[in-house]
Amino acid sequence: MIFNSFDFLFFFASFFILYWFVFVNNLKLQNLLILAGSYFFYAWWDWRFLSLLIASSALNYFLGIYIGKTQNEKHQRYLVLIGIVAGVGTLLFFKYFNFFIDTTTSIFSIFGVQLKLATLQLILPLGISFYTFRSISYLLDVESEKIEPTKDWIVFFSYISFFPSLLSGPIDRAEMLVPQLQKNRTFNYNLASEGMAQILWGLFKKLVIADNCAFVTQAIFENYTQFSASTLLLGSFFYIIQVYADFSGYSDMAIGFAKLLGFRITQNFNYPFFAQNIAEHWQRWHISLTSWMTEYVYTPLSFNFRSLRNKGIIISIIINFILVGLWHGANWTFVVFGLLNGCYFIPLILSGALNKKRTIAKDKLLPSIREIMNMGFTFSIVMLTAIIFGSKNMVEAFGYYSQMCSLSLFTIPPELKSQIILLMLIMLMFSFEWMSRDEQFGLIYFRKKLGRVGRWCLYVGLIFTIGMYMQTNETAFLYFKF
Amino acid sequence: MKRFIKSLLFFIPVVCFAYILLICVWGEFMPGIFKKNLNYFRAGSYGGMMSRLEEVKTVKNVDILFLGSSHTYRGFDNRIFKKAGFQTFNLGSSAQSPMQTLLLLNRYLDQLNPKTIIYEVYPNSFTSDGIESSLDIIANDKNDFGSIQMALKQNHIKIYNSLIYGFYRDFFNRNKGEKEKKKNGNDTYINGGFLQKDLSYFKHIKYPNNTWNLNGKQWSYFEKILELIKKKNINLILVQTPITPNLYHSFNNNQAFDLKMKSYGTYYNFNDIVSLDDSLHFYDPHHLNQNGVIIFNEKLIEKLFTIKH
Amino acid sequence: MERTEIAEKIKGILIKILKHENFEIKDELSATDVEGWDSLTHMLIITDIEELFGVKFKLKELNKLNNLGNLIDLIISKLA
Repeated sequence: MIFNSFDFLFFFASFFILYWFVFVNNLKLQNLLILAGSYFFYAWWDWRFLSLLIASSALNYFLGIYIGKTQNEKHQRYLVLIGIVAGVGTLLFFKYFNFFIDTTTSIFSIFGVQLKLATLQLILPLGISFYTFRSISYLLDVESEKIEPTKDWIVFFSYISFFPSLLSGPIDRAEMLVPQLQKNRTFNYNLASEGMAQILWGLFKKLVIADNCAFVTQAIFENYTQFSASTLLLGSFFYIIQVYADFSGYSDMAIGFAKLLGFRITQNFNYPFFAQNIAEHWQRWHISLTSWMTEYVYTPLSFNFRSLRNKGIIISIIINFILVGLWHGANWTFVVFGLLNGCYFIPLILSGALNKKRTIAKDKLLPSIREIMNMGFTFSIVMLTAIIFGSKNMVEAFGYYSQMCSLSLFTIPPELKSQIILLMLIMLMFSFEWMSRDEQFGLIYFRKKLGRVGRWCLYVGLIFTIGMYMQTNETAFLYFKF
Repeated sequence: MKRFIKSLLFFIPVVCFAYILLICVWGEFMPGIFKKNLNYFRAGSYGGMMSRLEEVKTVKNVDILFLGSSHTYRGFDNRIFKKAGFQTFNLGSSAQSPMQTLLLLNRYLDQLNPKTIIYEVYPNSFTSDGIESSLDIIANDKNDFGSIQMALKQNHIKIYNSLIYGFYRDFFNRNKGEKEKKKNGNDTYINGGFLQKDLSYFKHIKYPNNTWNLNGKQWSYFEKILELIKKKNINLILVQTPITPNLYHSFNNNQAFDLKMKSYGTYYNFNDIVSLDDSLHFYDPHHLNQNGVIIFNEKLIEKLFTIKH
Repeated sequence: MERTEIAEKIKGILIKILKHENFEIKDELSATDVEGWDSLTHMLIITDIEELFGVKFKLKELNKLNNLGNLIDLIISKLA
């Protein structure tokens, strides 16, 4: 079930009623409902992988308790290690097995050895990267005594499988979600209506912006040899917007649904395109992942390399970003994508530019010229790097780049005219997000400024925009005007 | 919680009302490029459907009714059948799939009261989602409860938007006095529903190997149509109109489709019956030009006479 | 060493690495209150502190720090 489907609408509406009307006075039953609902939600996609989710939760539940019990640091280490090996091992098996086989085969073939290793046609259990990361951070936090192990199994299992963020994040930390599961939730009108607005904003970004961009970029990326350089540039622009609108839109919906149930979960995007440099971009992009990686990968690395000063930081950053890249999937494009992003930090670290940061356009309506230039520069780097992210393999990525290096880069792309509406809609999205840049999502500024009538007009306008401009997938019209 | 439910119950009708209002305003005043999901096209678009649906309301008791896609309204020339003594009407429309055929039959079958129905079957119309054809019919016919049922079945935003706007146009009589030109570009509308294309020729091309998908969603509607026709005791002839031989033979499961069709009743596949030339008798890969239409229609009339006797 | 003395020395390190003085030294000061004191500069600051005071921290100890007061306490406990 994806959020923007009628299946989910019915599921959530019935869940909402049971949650707030039937089980409202019994915390235990309410949590049990969350757990049952989450498993139903997951099983709707494929019930076979539900057992994996349950097994993983059970293992980490017991590990957490034992880590809390034993005072012996060595034992604690081993128990954490068991959890990490089990979690990462499963992840590696499902997500990266074929990648390893392929890579091993091609390395051996360089030396003239033909290996015949079987690759498996594996289906990836949905959400596995997200719930594995939740469990690992839980174990590490218990070990470092940041949190107490969760004794109530219903609470813990619900934390791992909490359905709003199960399939696509945010990767909530236990310290964020577990306390909220442990205490009574009362219905909060403001939180719920804010949640509704956030869902609407997410729907707009997903259905209107991301899906329309995807329609254009798919055609361009698949046939990049047939387009002019300027069209490819336009394609890479639409692609980065697509990735952003798709993922942040989905996160907005997840956060919105959680708010309707009385939960505040992690903000996942903080307007990354208003970032002044690449470091800031990554602090604002897929925050729940980057902060996870910072805490559990980058910090230990940089701690161990700290005597090397700047060099140590650079090494840690690069390793960290290669892993961020690989997290997205098993493909060399993701490795290179991560490596490049890590390298972009080098000049910042060496020049010390990293350390001078301030809030963008504070208390002002518009950014300064300097801020605009910084934003534009950062955006361009992110946009051009994303071509690798969007290509099927490195050969295609290089092809795309070399095709882009031609004089036709300085022409107006012929496809521009048919995409004017889409560009206007993208502008609309960004102006809303600019106004709300100090808030959690793009509608808050106007929600606060406008009265009830104004707010409702805004929502109606957005719903209408979705209805009028969402991307639809029907058979291409053959006869119209023909 | 009470406040939330109350707001929500109040908000939903407000949204519905405002949405309908905005659709009407948008449809009336906005230029085409702003109307991505509002596809209400009448005169001059699609295939003469506006004239056809205007005319059908004045026709009664025909000998033959033609149903099907553009192969129908570009393939069965009413004038040729008239010469042979048949009073006919052509209710084909662009990309018509069984779902829309059923809707049109529910609207017009009793009034047209045909003795025979010739239903053009093309493998692709069974896999079509029928969106294009629904939009065509919504814009060019008066909408009724059947339109709403169809919209709910298709559950597609373009259909909903266009239907809302269509009801508004009907209700305020906004389409009154609008006339479609007899001749639109290369197409001339012929009374009875046929659309004649100015004579042009196609070429010989080689097509990659193809397979018809025979598992479309539309078979259930097709069976409902046959049921309806049977109930009314009307003769039914299923016909596959000719497409360019090169294209036809690029498909490797033509026989499977033929077999399936034969199981439903009288069926003629004119790809096997008439021999035509890719260039001389067609204007595109699967539409006959007037030369082709004449040959095909005369052969069909021959068949009709043999059935009669 | 006195708390105030340690605090002053830390202030010097912060100014050297962050290149600004827009913060007030107090026990409740946390990294998020100081512009530029983020995960990237944190280890540089820590390394300088280790060298200046001649102490070695463990990662686990660092992870538990919430504010400047904690940090000073930790240094004092190491020096004792």
